[in-house]
Amino acid sequence: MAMHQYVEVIFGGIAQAAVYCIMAFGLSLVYGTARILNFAHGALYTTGAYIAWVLTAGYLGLPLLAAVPILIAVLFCSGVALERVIIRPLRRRPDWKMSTMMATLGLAFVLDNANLILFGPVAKPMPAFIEGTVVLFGTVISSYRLAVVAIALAIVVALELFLQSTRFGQAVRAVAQDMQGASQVGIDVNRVFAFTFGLSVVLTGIAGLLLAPIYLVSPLGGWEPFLKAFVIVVFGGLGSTRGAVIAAFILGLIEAFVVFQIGASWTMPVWLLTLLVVLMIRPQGLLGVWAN
Amino acid sequence: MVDDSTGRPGRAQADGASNRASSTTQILFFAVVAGLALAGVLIDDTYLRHVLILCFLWVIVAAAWDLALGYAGIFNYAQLVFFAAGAYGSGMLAAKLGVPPVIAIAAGGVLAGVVGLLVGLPCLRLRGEYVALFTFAIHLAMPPIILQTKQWGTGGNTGLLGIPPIELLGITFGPLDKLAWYYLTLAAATAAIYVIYFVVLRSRTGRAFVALRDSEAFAKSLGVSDFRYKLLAFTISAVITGIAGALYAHYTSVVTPKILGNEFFLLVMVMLAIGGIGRFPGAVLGAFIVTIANELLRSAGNYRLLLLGLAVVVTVLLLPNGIVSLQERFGRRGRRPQGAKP
Amino acid sequence: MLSVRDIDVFYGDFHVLHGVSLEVGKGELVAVVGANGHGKSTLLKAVCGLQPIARGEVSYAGESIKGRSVPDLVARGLVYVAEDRRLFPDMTVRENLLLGAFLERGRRQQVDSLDRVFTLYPRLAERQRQLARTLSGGEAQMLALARGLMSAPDLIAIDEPSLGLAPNLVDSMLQTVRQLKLGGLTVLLVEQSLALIEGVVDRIYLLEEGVISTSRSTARQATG
Repeated sequence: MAMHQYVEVIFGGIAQAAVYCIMAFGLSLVYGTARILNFAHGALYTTGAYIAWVLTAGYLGLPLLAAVPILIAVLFCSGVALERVIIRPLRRRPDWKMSTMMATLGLAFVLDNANLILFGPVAKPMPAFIEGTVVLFGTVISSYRLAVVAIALAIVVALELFLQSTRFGQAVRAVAQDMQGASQVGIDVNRVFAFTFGLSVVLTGIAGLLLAPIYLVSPLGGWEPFLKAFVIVVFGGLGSTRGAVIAAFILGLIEAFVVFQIGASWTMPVWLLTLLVVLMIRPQGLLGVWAN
Repeated sequence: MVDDSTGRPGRAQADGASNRASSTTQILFFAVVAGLALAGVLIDDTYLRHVLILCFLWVIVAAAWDLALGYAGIFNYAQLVFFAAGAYGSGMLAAKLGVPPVIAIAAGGVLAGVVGLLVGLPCLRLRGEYVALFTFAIHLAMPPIILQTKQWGTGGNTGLLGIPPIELLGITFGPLDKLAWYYLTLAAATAAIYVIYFVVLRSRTGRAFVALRDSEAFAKSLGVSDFRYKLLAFTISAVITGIAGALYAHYTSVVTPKILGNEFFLLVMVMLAIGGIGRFPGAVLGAFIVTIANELLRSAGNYRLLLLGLAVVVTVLLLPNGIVSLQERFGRRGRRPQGAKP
Repeated sequence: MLSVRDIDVFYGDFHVLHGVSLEVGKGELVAVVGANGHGKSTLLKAVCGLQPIARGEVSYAGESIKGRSVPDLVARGLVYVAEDRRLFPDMTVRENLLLGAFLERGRRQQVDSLDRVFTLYPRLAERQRQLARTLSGGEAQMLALARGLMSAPDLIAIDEPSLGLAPNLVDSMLQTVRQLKLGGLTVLLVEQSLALIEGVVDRIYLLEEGVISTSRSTARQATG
């Protein structure tokens, strides 16, 4: 394999991984704090992409810079509402784990089919906001992909900074590490849950927006990235956002090499196999700890 | 051994009550079966018979899932993988290798059991939600794998065609012999429900399932092997589901990757959500209600799946334990609601 | 300052407390003593808003606090220290302490409080940058109490602080609690052993099978 092919493969892997990363980050954050597995995460990814499409190319024709703040606000509010209306009432039940899984799965199907009814089965094209190509180590790479990597990485860094050094970020980490302890120091645990839900919906929606120009926007398009985010989160350890970041890059690179060597359709089986091997060696994932 | 009273107080109470009512339930169950058997002759409408045949088939799947999810407390979301294993296994044996359908169906059940065992093994090392994630990942990864293995005779995207009809005791169960299929599936559903709810769950094995669900640590301290019982739950549930899948394949004579699609998954989940998990006859009632509702909604097009999804969310929120809880709520007052956090 | 009147508390379906009443005056150090499983932890949790109260009344600083949320009570100066510490294991000692001062009330005096707990526990000052999960049992207990103090409480409710401590540490822990009381803090303490705290606290309630059986003042002996 020539040098430039390596660069291409590795860069392709990093680009995929960067976007999976922000999607998995949200999934992991919600699990880490609220111990909820949100099965609607993929459907929310698609919904985010559709909202972006409606705001820009589809109907309103807004410039992207104007559309993004609106998108973020809408997604955040939907996440908060989702937690309030569906998750919070279920938390009081003895079987809340099963109930929340079923409710979010149900919601996923509602969103998918609502998108299908509203936008039809034909995938919507989304123009890339940056055109052209750049040359990196003698390899031609699309500027859009490079921009996606930069944006995704910036988001991850910003999130880590938020969690490590702001007061509310500390509160989020406190809830993740000990819910009762957090409550004891005066943290409003419900507010943290609502916030993390809002944030995770924003993250998955942004991932949907970033990948829309590459994969188009289609009603069931969220399941594959969701499944990948799933695998990343389990691989990295449920609830560990750092584990998710590391896992995203490992799996992104594996995917790139699988696509290059044996073909794109083998990605999922190889991901599953990787997951299986990891879980057999370390059932709690890379950086996960068992929930009590 | 494992005593029911060792579970959570609320559950033990419910189990105690259901034990006392066990013979009544059994009589009632057979009365309903007899009624349905009689109805088979009285209903002289092919479509209506078809809908009831589907009901009987889905009852088997819902009950088998209920066994693993509701009673054994395993967050298994790969149930339709077992269904597909039975359907594809039996269909391929009969259509490609010419194995007599009756033997092929049994083999389909065995194959599903093996798949159940294989899915169950890694799950033993996992806990709670990891099981849900892992099994659901398997479910989602199945359709691409079926497409990949087209050269082995799965039929790929178009599906496996030309699955021959069952021949038993000189009767050929053709796709149009609705009455024959009616009795065959009724018998299968009756057997499945009887085995799951009246044999397995009333045995020591069933009590071990419930004990592990309610308190794994406690059950282990009593010497209940979680390894053995969880694998058993996976396998029993998979074999029964696989047989339902095999019957389905021979009934429709076609199997496509659609059986692993969102629609079927959603359908079975709504059955459990509406009926009530881990409470006989919740899953059974749920299967009937949802199958019939699904048929009634045929004309609603895309709105049908939207409504089914909505039904899951709304029932989980408003009817925590499914419709069977209505009877408890209005029938037996005085039970204190369980308000404790886990 | 705190008045519990005739409360009933359930844990799931299990009726734990039957008509329990108790009083804690301002500046008092009061202990509830009882064997394991008799409901003393549940009593403390119910008072601090962590466990719902089915019947009866709880008032604090002249106001009914039944049904109020934990953060609301912390904001009013009623702070709970759990028997199982409830620290944030993957944060440093310092981060744990600063989270103790999460609410406005604690944050206003954050710097002073930090000085105070470091004077009280020089050990914690040395280990500021260490992760909480790496602390020994005794240090974890110090941190749990110190984090509670960071919330600037008027009344601190401490659930079995001697749990898992070596005997020599129990003694110094009780002296610290005594010192807090002398500094003006109101303390409600739960312990298993009467002998352990007899000379240290002002008054004792005995809790048996979810019922207060006796309450008495203890003669204050000089304990050094």
